[in-house]
Amino acid sequence: MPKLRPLPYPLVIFAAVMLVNGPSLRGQEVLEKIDESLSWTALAGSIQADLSFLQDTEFYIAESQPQGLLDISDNEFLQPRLAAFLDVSAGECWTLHAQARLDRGFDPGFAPDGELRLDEYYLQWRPLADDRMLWRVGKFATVFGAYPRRQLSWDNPFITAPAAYEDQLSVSDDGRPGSVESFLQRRFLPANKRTWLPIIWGPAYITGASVSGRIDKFDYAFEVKTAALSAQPNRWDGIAEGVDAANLAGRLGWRPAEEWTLGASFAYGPYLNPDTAIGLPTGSSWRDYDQTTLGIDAAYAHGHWQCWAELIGAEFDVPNVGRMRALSALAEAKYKITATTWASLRWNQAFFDEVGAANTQWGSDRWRLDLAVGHRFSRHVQAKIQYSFAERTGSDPEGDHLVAAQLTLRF
Amino acid sequence: MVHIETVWHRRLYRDNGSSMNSLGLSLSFLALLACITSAHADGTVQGSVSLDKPKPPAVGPGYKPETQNPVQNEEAPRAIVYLENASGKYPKKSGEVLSIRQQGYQFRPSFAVIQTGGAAEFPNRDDEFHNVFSYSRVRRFDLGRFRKDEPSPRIDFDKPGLVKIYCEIHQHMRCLVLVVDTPWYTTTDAEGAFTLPKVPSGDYTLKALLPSEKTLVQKITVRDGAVTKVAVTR
Repeated sequence: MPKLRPLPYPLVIFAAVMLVNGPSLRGQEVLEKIDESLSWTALAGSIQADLSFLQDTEFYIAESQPQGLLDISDNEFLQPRLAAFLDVSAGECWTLHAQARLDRGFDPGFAPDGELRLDEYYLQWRPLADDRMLWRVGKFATVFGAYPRRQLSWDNPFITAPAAYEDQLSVSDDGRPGSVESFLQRRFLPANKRTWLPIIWGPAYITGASVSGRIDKFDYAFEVKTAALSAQPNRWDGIAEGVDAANLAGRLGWRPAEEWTLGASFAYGPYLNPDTAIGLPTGSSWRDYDQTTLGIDAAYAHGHWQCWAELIGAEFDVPNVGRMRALSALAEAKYKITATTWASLRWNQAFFDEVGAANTQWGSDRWRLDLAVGHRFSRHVQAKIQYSFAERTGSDPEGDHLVAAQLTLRF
Repeated sequence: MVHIETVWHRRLYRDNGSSMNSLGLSLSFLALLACITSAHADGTVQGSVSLDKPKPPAVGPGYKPETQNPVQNEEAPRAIVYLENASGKYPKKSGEVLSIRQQGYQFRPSFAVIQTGGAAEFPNRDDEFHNVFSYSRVRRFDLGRFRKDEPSPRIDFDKPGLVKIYCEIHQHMRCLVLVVDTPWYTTTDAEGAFTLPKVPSGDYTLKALLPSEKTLVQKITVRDGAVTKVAVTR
């Protein structure tokens, strides 16, 4: 008689959470009441504070090596996450925002024993009566591109990020390798992905300052940050890590019609980690090696459709190798099937340049298809399930399939 | 009553000729008088409700959408007052359609009442998209994103209950629509005062729904031609 494989315990826990929290109307009323009670005012309403939470329970089933920013040794992984958001406004001009998270890593599996982090905090000043100019200082999401504005679990139609924001390339921030040959071999060793970098690491909550605003049909945002878009989360905190270099980024947006949003972004600055960069050519400094990123984005929304598209080109100046270019694109659509249920589809594509003398691509051209279905039980409870299939040209040691489920409570 | 009076008038006119003109006119006058008296025979309920205190405007979340124009203040809190009888049987109005605008990044009105069988439209008067939706069991809908002055789909309300309506883009926007079986309802003014005319005599349960979703209840008796004074307190 064939022996049945026991259900993995993370799946059992996830199913139990779904059953208890998903359809429970009473539980949702409690969440509604908690949500409404977490606001305070002082000084006749001139100071207001609001505390809110997102509680995600995610479950991943992935082939080794898993796609994207998943660092898991087993094929199954349970990622619980509690994110707390504090918003304080003082008068019409000043706003303070902070986001703390308790989870098993900013990206699933990067801290399997759990950690508590202050991922985002900033002070914002609005000197004018409208939103023509907003100054911000602190640690906050990048202004580059369009995805960071929908990256929280409640707003993201999917569970994972688009490939441009999470698919690690065989570029690292430690200055290695020492030669073109070893660099070209690196892409066949995905077990070392922990040291690799994506073009943009998620929302890139990096310390810095920004000015942004909106004038009629146009909007703008410029920022100076202490690390590059591709920097690992442990380098995002400019206070803890120190301010060694400035990275610039900006985005210009245009709304030709209410349905359309178009944007163009840039980012430029050194991407190597000054603490680990070794083996650099004589006479050069880690500051000499930049990441240059350019992007265009478009979004369309009308009725029950929302669509996004981005095209991002990145160039990494790799020590001892040269300038490595990659082009990544995504097209994403979400359609509300009913008032509470939606389906979404995302196409991710990436192309890699050739290394000069060797005439060999430094990465494997790849595509990934993401499919997701989501359901909102109420304004406070949401569930999603996602399937992703990835394919790469040539030797493909990375896993092709990923299934993920996510339950989110918002209060 | 008007219909009966008209039939009688015609019949008298036809059967007795012009000699009956004066009698017919007199009877018509009496019938009209009876009709007017009957209309005034229903009672009126008048009073006040102890309202919720105004809430401070919501704190914008960190990722709040930047709006082209300033967000206007919410409406002052009011109450919905309605009467229920013991039988639960009520005359039906027909064709009532509420217009709930999105204007200044608020619902106007943000607190409304409608009889079962009625409907609502949600015209967008702002220069930017709104996405009106409700997950209430009484009526679930999602209108999607639509622009200024684009025709709004009409939402029918077939079941009684409270429908909580929101905007997916502007999370501070909220609207409560109470769907009731009774045709005797009104909304108070900002001071809590209300008048409910044309209520047939009888015993009723007066209910006052506050924006906090708390319902105040009071038993009243309505008499023909009389004004019943009520003070609804907590």
